[in-house]
Amino acid sequence: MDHLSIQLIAGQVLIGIINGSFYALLALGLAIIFGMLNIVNFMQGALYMLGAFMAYIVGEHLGIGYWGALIVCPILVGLFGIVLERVFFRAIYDIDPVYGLLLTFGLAIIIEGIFRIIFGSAGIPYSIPDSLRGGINLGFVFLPYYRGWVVLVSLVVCLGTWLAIEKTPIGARLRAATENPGAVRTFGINVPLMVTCTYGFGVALAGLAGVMAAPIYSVSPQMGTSILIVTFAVVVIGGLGSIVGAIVAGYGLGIIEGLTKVFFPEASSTVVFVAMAIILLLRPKGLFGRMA
Amino acid sequence: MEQLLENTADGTAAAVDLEVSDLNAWYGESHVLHGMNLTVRKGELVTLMGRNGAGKSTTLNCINGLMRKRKGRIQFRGTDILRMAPERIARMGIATCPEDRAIFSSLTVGENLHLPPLLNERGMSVEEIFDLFPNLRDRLGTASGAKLSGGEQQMLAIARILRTGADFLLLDEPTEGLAPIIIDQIAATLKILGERGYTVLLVEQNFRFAQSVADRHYMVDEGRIVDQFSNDLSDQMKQKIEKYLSL
Repeated sequence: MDHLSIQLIAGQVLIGIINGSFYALLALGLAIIFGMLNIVNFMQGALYMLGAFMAYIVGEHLGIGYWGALIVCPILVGLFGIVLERVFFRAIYDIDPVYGLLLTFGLAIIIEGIFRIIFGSAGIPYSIPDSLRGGINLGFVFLPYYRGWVVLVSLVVCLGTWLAIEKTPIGARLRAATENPGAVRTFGINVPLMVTCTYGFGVALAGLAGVMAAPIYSVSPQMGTSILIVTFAVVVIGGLGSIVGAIVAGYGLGIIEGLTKVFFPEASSTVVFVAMAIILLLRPKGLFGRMA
Repeated sequence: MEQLLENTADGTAAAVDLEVSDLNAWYGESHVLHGMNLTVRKGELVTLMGRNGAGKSTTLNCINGLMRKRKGRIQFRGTDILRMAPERIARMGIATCPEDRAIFSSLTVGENLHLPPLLNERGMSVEEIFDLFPNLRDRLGTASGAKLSGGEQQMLAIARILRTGADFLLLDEPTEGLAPIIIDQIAATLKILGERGYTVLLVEQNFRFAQSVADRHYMVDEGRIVDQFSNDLSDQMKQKIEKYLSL
């Protein structure tokens, strides 16, 4: 293999890791929400889009730059999610989960529609913060600083979330409430409040991904739609509700997608779904799914 | 001790901890409790005995708040708890050990033990709990609660609610499916709890076990109390009780 193709492969793997960083963050949020609320949150893409628009809006109207937006926007999206959970979801917990899917799907369409009316379908540029301009030549590949930053944040957030859920007392409560919420309530633990906070955190992850995506992909009302479909494939491959599965499958599929662009570009947009079909045939519960 | 409950209904002998009156409950459209009435005094161990499906567990789930569709009156230490959320009821000192034991497989044994938050300072220390259940000490590091034997799971389920300081315990068939030696251990534990002043409402189908630990028995059938007697009389009532428990 000559020098050029190694560079080509490394470049695509890098793009794959960056895309994977977004898949992992979004899938992690979906997995946490599904585990706790038993709801397939079809709004995750719309809230990712909302995070990106929030970054643009607080920048335009409040003069809050990228670094401020990185903190403020996920919180705003999380609070928005909490309001939706309190207002809409309470009514549907006791009925078929398919209603949760329909409800969040409908809300997603409404949110995206509102942004399309206000901002139009064309993308709005959002610039990279000055301190993260430029990049570094690693020899085999050129790494823009901003993309390295995205990968770093995504890894830290994913790992931190995993540690919090698997290794802390609060995480133990969360895992227990996922298994048997009623029993956990009889210990005096406010499970409904935990559910609300979990939803808020899960969608805040989407908001965070949105802010980080704003300088890479342009900010547009439909930016959440295409990534959401891939994210669902990621969640299914990782195993519905599995935290580790969402993270591993997120990065893994990003890389597979990147490599496919080198070897068989025509299939790069479908390889994720081929992988999903294969996994579903071999392991219907996904790679890390608990066998029911 | 009092003989029959009817004579002591004024509750002057001991403070009444729990008073359930005219309790009705439904699973969807199915009416399962038809006017339950029962009283538990402080420090008593009272059983609810009856066949499968008689409404014993449902009664416990009305008291701890998990049963949603319920009507009537449930007074706990002078407070009406019928409309309260389960977590609020729990914080008043009512702890549940459910029939399925609710040991969490995604939690280690240690995490299972420490899951319920402490309600006050009066709970047992982990050392005291290990004195009661020595087997648990060695199993503390076990990676999943599901890896414990049935007996160990039952002990863990009782142990974790003793830590919290709750002093009114709802125990749902703690002996079900367990070996006699473990049943004896649970009986010994209940005796110690009695000496320490815990109040226990015990759902049971094992009459010999119930007789060895209880102060008083209620017979439940078709969602209501059909009979009640002091444990002192349980030998004389044996045939009647067996009839209530038979299919």
